[in-house]
Amino acid sequence: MLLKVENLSKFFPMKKGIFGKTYYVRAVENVTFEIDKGESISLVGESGSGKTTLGKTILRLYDPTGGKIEFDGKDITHIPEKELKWYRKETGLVQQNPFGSMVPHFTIYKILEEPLIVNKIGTREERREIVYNILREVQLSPEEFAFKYPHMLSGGQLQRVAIARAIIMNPKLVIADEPVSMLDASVRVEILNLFEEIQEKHNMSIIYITHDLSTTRYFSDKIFIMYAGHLVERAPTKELLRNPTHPYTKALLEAIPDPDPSNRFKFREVPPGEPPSLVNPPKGCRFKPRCPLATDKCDEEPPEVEISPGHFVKCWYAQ
Amino acid sequence: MSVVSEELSLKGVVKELLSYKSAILGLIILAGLIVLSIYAILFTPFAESGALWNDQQVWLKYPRTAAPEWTNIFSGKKLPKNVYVNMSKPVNISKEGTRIKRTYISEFSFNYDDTPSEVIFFFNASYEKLRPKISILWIRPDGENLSLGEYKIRKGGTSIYLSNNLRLISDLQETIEERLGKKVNKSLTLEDILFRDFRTGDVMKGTYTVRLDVLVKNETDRVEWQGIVYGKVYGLAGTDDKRRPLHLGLLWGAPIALAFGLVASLSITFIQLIISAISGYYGGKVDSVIQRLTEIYMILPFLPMLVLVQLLYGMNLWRLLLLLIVLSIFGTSVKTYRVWVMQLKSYPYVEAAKAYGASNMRIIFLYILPRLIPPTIPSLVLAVPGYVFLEAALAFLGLSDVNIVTWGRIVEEAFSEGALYKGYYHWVLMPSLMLVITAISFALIGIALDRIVNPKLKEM
Amino acid sequence: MALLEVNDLVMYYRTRKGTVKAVDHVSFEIEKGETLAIVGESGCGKSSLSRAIIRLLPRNVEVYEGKVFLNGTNIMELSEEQFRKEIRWRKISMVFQGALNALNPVLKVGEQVAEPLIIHMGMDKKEAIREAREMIKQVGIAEAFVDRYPFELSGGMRQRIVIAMALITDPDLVILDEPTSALDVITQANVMNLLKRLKKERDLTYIFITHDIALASELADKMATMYAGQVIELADSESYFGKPLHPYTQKLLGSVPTLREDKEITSIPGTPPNLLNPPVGCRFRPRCDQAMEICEEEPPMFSLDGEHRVKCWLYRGEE
Repeated sequence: MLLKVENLSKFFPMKKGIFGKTYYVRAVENVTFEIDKGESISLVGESGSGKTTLGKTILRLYDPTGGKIEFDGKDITHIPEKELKWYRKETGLVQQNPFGSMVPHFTIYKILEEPLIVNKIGTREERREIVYNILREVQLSPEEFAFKYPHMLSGGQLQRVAIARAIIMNPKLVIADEPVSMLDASVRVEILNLFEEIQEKHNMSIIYITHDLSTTRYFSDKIFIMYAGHLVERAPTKELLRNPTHPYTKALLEAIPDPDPSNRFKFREVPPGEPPSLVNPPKGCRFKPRCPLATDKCDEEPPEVEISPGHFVKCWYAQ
Repeated sequence: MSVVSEELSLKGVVKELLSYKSAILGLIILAGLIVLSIYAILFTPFAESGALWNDQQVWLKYPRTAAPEWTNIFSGKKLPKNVYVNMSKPVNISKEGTRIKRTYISEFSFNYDDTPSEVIFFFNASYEKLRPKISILWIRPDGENLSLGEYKIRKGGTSIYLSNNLRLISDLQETIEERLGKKVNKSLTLEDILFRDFRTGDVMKGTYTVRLDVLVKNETDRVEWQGIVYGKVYGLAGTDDKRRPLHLGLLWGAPIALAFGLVASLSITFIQLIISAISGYYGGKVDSVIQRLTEIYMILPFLPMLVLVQLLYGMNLWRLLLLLIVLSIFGTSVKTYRVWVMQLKSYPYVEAAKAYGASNMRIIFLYILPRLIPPTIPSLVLAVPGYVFLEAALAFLGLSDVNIVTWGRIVEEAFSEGALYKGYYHWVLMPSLMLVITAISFALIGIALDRIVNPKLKEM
Repeated sequence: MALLEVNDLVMYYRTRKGTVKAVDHVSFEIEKGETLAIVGESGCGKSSLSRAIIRLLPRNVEVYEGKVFLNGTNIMELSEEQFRKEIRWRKISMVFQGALNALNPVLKVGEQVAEPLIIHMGMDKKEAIREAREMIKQVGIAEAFVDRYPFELSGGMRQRIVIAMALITDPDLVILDEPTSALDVITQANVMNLLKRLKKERDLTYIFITHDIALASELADKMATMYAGQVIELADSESYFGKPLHPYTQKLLGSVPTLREDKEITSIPGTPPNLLNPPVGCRFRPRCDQAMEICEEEPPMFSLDGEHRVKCWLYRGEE
């Protein structure tokens, strides 16, 4: 297994007043999963579900509050930053905002060169070679783009640069945090296709974080569903879409519109309310307040149940 | 906030700057000051300027408290410049007793509307045993001859000040009164006697002759001499009471003013940026400590500390600069810059950098600090005249370097000699004018820069 | 008689770089109780169109002309004063995107919903607040929240408040400009359910502006595609989704990823044109794979079967 995450938690302290006790935002709690080499998974959840926090904690951009992260057999949960340099080379990050993720006063060339310089990869000539190749791989002509500045590129082009930057050191794992949410619909497809190509070519594992379940079908092997800091369901893609089991997953699937004119005559059956505050989440199952199947038993945090091979659901009533 | 949007390139800023007429004016003035500074450093004995300024002997041949020459335009009168009575070959060499008498006759024309300020004769003598004797005869254009006395001179340089020789003056006055046949009610100055028409009181224009007889013992005894009829105007900026030409002082003050202001402003801003970057980026304890330091600085008494250093250690320009920097680096700008840093820190590109392993130092210096520079440039420019004035003010209070010439020092000297009371307005006005022009130049440039850089601050 | 008839509406505004032709001769009609959805990518002018109808013009507007008939009256001919008094927020109101920005953070929610009544209808404060309470209940928010401040409400609740504010004066026409853009998908479904219910109960007429073509089908009786400042296709929903005519509409529909069926998604090459200098002739020509020579001339709006309108030379001669 390339990545093993066990009972991972990340809390953020929030002080209330000078004398008040510290509250914690329990952004991610008790998450367990594994990812194999070359596997791509979609981590789906709405904003505030903890999906971004989970991704960043895996990358050790945050320090885990509890649990364990194992990468390539090594326990990296609490290793200090200075010993994590190798990990930075093995992982890559693509962020959501194409415009904010590039240093405005660097040329595209410099932006791509930075990871190489920082990790002391190659001589000046070798780096130039690498940068030019990676630009070609993301379908941006080096001659045209290498010496432009970020503000001269469109959102789609910038995301290509972001992808290039994430993979330039040939990492084993790439985390893409909502990489297409800020792009126009017509451009999203191109970027998602690019991810698919890269993943196949390099056999990279990709964690694709998104709130839009409908984009996940296209290149992920597995879908993980997050709700209010918990990983509530995970399964191979086709299986999840055919047999959504967790009430939240079912609601998600029901809520997503497809282009059908008869929609306007129907009401969608979705649970009312909104996700809970993560400062004081409900005890046990966090979906309980909105769940049609909820009982008192749900005050106790449900275990993960494997209802079919590879299909895990965190619910007392999973079948 | 976009501390600096993408479109803020140096070229773009410069281009836009040139579209403001006020900025162009400012730049022209600044260019002029720079030219003056370069000229001062390259073509004048700049390194010795302080020593020269303090050495009175250097300036003997300049007129005292002379106004600038162009004031003639305003006064309508043609005030005299220096006129030199130069030694030429002796017209006659004869024997007088045991001595050799050399007679020199020199002429000069004087066509001004006012009397000169002083008359001094300079001698340089080398001789074996006996001191040479000099006698001077003044012959006015109206034919009146006046004896200016006989003097014995020593080896080396001697100067004979005639203008404050009260005995000579009263003797001459008596002589005139005899010749006129009446008494003159006022007391006359030497210059009045030597240059005015006795009847009308106007200054006589025409050719004046000086006959100088030098009596030496030996043939080999040499006496060189020059007479100077000192003017009342001199040069572009006049002179002060120690005969120092102010234009030279202003020239020497220019590079110091510019350098002081620029170095102070640049170093303080730069150090403040680094401090803010560390404070804002790392947060936590480091941030708290730096913030408390900033607050302490707000109550630090700046002036008393300078006075203290001056008393204990004496003050020179470098020490002043250093003190100024040390006492300013935790100033309130740090609070502003820190906020910018904190905003920049939250940008995705900082996070991306951490993801590929960039060190914090690298992020601060290569990713964050460069974005802070454009918004600080206007205030950097606007601060320069402030520091120039500060040095001037400190010089005025006697807290600056006494071994260099600065504009502030010139103002200080003017005031302590009561220049305004005595009517030597140029002495105060000229250095003040330089200070003001410098301030205006930077202000114009800085304000235009502010207008260019700040609207884009919103996109930071 | 149609409730709203827009004829050749034009709105250009001036920028440092030139004139932006945001709304370029747009025409359509809506019957009472109908919903027209206007779909387009970012920068196509749909937001500008909504503001042009309710006359919230940018400061640097250069051209604003055309005819807009509301219940037979040409409201373009009204003076600023008249429009403000009689039309804006009386007959036509608007639900803005980004509810957080539309609400005043220092006013209580109930007061804000009451404000239009006080300002536009001269109602006295007590009565206005009473009506506001009713409206707030109508949009599904507990009465207790009337005295709370916006920051105390969740995103979905804030959006409902903004809807309440738009409906409180019982307008004839409500313009919804991306009303659910900041909401998660389940909350979005809930809010759409609300809009559907209100549409039925109050016979509301909506103009629904969105970039999400699938979401548009949740409300739309009529669909319009907007591209580069122009409406290029206009039809009732069944015809539009069933048989999209304009190549751009086809591609838009093709680029929507779906969960429920296996569909290969396509992208649209190129980028939407700049409204400063739109291409001469058909504005979609540079990106259209069916472009012909005649497309260098701007196509008129062809009307098929009298109902389905499309601005494309492919349909010449089918009227």
